Amino acid sequence: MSVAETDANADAQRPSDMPVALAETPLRRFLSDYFASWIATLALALLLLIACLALLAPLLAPQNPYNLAEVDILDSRLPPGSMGMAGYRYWLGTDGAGRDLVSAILYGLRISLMVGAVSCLIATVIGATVGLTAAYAGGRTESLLMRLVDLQLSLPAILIALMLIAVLGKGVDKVIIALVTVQWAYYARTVRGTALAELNKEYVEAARCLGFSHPRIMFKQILPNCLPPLIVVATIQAAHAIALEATLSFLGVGLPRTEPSLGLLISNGFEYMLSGKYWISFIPGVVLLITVMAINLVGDQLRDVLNPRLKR
Amino acid sequence: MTVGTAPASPLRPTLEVVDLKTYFHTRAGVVKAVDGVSFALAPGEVLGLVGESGCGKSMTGFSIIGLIDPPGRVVSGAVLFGSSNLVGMPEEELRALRGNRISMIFQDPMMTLNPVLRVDTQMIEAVQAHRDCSRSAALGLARDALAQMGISAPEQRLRCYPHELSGGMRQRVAIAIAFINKPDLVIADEPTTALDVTIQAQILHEAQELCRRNGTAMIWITHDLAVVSSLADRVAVMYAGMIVEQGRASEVIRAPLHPYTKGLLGSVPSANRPGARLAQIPGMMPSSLDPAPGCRFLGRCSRAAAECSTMPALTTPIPGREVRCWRPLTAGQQS
Amino acid sequence: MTAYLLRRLMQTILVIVLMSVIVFFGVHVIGDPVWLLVNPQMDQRDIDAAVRALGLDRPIWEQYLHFVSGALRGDLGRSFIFGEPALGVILQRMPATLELAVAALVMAVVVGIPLGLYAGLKPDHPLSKAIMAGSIVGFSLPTFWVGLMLIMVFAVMLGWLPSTGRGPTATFLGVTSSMFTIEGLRHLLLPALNLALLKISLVIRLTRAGARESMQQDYIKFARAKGLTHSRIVRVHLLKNILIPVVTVLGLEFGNLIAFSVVTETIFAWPGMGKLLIGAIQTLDRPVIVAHLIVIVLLFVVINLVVDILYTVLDPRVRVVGQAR
Repeated sequence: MSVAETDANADAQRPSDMPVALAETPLRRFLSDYFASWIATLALALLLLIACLALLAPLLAPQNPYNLAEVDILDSRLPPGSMGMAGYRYWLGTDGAGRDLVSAILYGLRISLMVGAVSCLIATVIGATVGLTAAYAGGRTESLLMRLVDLQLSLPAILIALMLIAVLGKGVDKVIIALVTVQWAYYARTVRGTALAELNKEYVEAARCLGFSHPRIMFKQILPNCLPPLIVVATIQAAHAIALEATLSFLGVGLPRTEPSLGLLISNGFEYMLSGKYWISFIPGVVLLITVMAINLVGDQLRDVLNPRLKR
Repeated sequence: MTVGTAPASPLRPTLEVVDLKTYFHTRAGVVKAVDGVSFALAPGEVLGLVGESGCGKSMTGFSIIGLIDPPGRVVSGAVLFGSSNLVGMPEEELRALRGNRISMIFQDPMMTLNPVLRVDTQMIEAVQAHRDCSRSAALGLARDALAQMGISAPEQRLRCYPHELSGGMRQRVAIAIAFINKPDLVIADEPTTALDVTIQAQILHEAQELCRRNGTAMIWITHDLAVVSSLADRVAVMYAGMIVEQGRASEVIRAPLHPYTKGLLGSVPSANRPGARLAQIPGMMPSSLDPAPGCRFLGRCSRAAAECSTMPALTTPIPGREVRCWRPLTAGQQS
Repeated sequence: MTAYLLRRLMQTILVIVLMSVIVFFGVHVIGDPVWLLVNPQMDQRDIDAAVRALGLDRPIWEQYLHFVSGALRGDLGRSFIFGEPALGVILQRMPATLELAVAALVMAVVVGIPLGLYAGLKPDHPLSKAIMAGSIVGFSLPTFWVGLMLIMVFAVMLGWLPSTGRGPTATFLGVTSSMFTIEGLRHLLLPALNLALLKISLVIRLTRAGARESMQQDYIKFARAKGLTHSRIVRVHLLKNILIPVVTVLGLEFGNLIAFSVVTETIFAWPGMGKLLIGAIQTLDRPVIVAHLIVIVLLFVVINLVVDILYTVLDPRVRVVGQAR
C-alpha cells in the first residue's frame, strides 16, 4: 500500500468528528523530529555538500595537484586570491610545492572521507557481529568477548593505532586496519547492550519457537532493532576516525604521500607557519574542522531524536 | 466569601488558602492542576487532603510551600500564612520560612535523602540553615528528634548513610527533619504510601504525637481514606484540581455529601461484603489539560442532571460542611 | 574493603601478564623478532652473534620467559638510536609528559566544571547555549590543528608565549617540574591548553548532564523544602553527586591525555615520551617502541586501579556492596 492509501484507510476508519491528522509513521515522526533543529538540518546539508564535493573532486578541482605537469613550483606559497603564472587565480593560495590549495583540499577530503567511511563500515560489520554473537550466545562466549572489548576500550585509540602502524608498517590498508581496530569495540558494546534488551522480548521467543536458525534470528530479527543506537555510534565514530586519520597523517605515520589526506596537507604547511604563511595549514584545518563538526552535530541530533527516554 | 470552614475557636488560622490556582503552560496546552482551592487550618489542626492520583493534591502542597517549577506557576489566589501572603513572596523570604516555619515531607523515602551524604549532615544543615547554632548543639537536636520518632540508638543512625537504613527508618528521619525546627505547619505528601502497612500505622501515630506535642498544624495528603479517618480532624476531598467536599472527618465519612466522596468510601475493599463485586466509580478522572466547562465529575456521576453542565458553586448545606455540587446527597442516600 | 583491593590487585596483575603475552606473541606472529632486538644495520656475522647471545634461536616459550625475566629486571632491550637501555630512555622523558598531562587535567577541571555547572543550572541562558556550542566545537577540533593555531596566534602573531620546548625546572617538595618557574610556566601554557581543550569540552558536557539530571532528583527538592540556600544545595548536595561520574571519567581520561600528548609534544617540541615514540616509529627503533608500549600499559593499569579506589571513596553506596561480598 502506498502512503496515500494508508492515510485514506486510516481516515476512513476514524469517526468523522475527530480532527484529522496525517498518519504518523515512525519514519515521518523521525524526520520531523530530526529537522526540528535548524542546526542539525544545516549540519546534514553541509555534510551532504562535503560528501558531494569529495566524490566529484576529480571533476570539480581546477587542477590535479598530484600531476606534476600541472603544478608550477614558481607559484608556490602564494597567499589566497593571488594570480598564478599561468593566468589562473588561486582562490585559497598555494602550498610549498606550488599546488593549488582548492584542488589539494578537494582531493584530500576525498581520501580522508573514503578512509573514514570504509573503516567505519568494516568496523560496524565486525563490531555488530561480535556484539550480537556475544549477546545471543551468552555465558562464557559473552564473557570472553566482552572482556576483549573492555580491554580494547580501556586503551586510548591513538596508542593502539600508533602501535599497530609501528608493527605493521605504513600504507593505506594498514591505516584502515588500524582505524577498524580502534573502532569495532564501540560497536560491539553498543550492539550487545541493545541486543540483550531485545532478547527478552517476545518476538525472539516466537522466532525460536518457529524454529528459525540462530543466524537468522540474530541478523534478521534482532539486528534491525539495534540499528538506532548503532547509527548514532557510527556517526560519532566516523568523526573520530576521520580526525584520527588526520592526526596520524599529520604525525607522518598515516597515509603515505601518494595518498595525501587533509592531515598531510596540514603537516606540510607546518614549516611555513612560523614565517607567516599560515593559510597552508589553516585552511585545510578549517575544512577538516567543519567536516568533523558537521558529523558530530548530526550524530548529536540523531542521538536526541532516537533516544526513547528523552521526553519531548 | 466563605473561606473554608472557620474552626470553632477564635484563634487566627495558621494557614488560609484562598482560591489557589496553579497552572502548567505546556506545549500541549494549559494544565489546570489546581483550579480554585480554598481551605483554612487552625493551629494544631490536621487536615486530610484526599483524592486520586492526578487530582492535584500534591501540587496544592507544592504551591503552598512555593516549590512549583516552570512551566508551572501559581497564577492567582493567596496563601495566607501568619500575616504574609506566600504567593508572590520573594524567594529569599520563602526560603527562610521553608524548613523553619513550614516544612514538607515527601512520598518516596528512597530519594528524598541525598544518598552520598550522611544522615547527621542532612539533619544538621536543616538546623543551621535557620539559626546560628554550633555543630554539636545541632547534633544534639538531631539526636533528640530521632529519639522522639521512636528510633533506638540514634547516635549510630546519625552516622549512617541513607541506603543503610530501611524505608520506614528513612521516612522517620525525613519526618524528624521536618519537625526539628518546630514549624507551625507541616505538609506531608503521601509519606506512608511507599511503606508497609504496619510501619504506616506506627508512623501515623508518631506524626500525630509530634503535632499534638508541638501544636503544629498538618496537611496530610493521601489517597487512602483509612488514614484520614484515624488521623485527621478535618478532611477535604479533591477531584480534578478542585475541592468537592470539606468538613469534619468523622462527619464526612459517616455522611458524605458529594457523590464522588460516596464513591470513594464505597470502593474501599473493607467496606465490601466478601464474595460480592468490588464497587468502583466508573470511568476515569478527566485530564486537567484544557478542561471542559461544567462539573468535573460529570461523566462519572450517577446523579448527573442538566444543571451539571455549569460549574457548581461551593455551598454550605450544613454548618461546618462545604460541598461543590448542584445535587448533594441527602440523609437517606449517604450510606 | 581490603578484600576488594586485593581482588583488584590480582586482576591488575592478570591484565599485565596478559598484555605481556599479547605483546610478545603478537610481535612474533606479525614480524621477525630478530629485527626487534638486533639492529639490521649490522653486518651478518654480528647479527648471528647477537641472535645467539639474545637467545633468539631458542624455542619461543623459552624466549618469552627470557623476555619476562628481563622485563622484571628492567631490561627491555637497547635503543638502536640512543645506544642506551630502552627503558632508561623512556623513563628519562616520562616526567615531562606527566607534567604536561597533569597541567592539562588541572586546566580541564578548573575551567570545565564551573562552565558545565553553569550550563546545567541555567540551561536557557544565552551564555549556557554559547558554552554548549563551544563545547561541540571544542570536541570537533583536531588537536594538532589547534596546536598549530595556538602557536600561530600566540607565538607568531602576538609574540606573547614561546612556541617550542620546555622551560627550566625547579624542585619543590621533592618534585622537579617546570611548573615551578615562571619561564617554565610560559612554556607549559600553550601545550597544556592544547591538550586540555578536548577534555574541557568533555568535562563541560559531563558536568552539565550530571547537573541537569541531579537537579530533577527528589533529594534536591527536599533540600529546598528544608530551606537550604541555593549555594549550599549546589555546593554540597549537587556537586558531590556530580563529581562521582566526572572524577571517574577524568581518571580514565588521564591515561588518554598521556597517550594524546604524542601530538602535542610533536608540535611544541616538548621533550616527552610521546615525541620519543613518534621518532622511534619513524626511525624503526623497535626496542623503544616495545618498551614504550609496556610502560604505557603499566601506567594505564595503575591509573585504572587508582580510579577504582577513588570511586569507592567517593560513593558510599559502592562501599557497602564491596564489604558484603
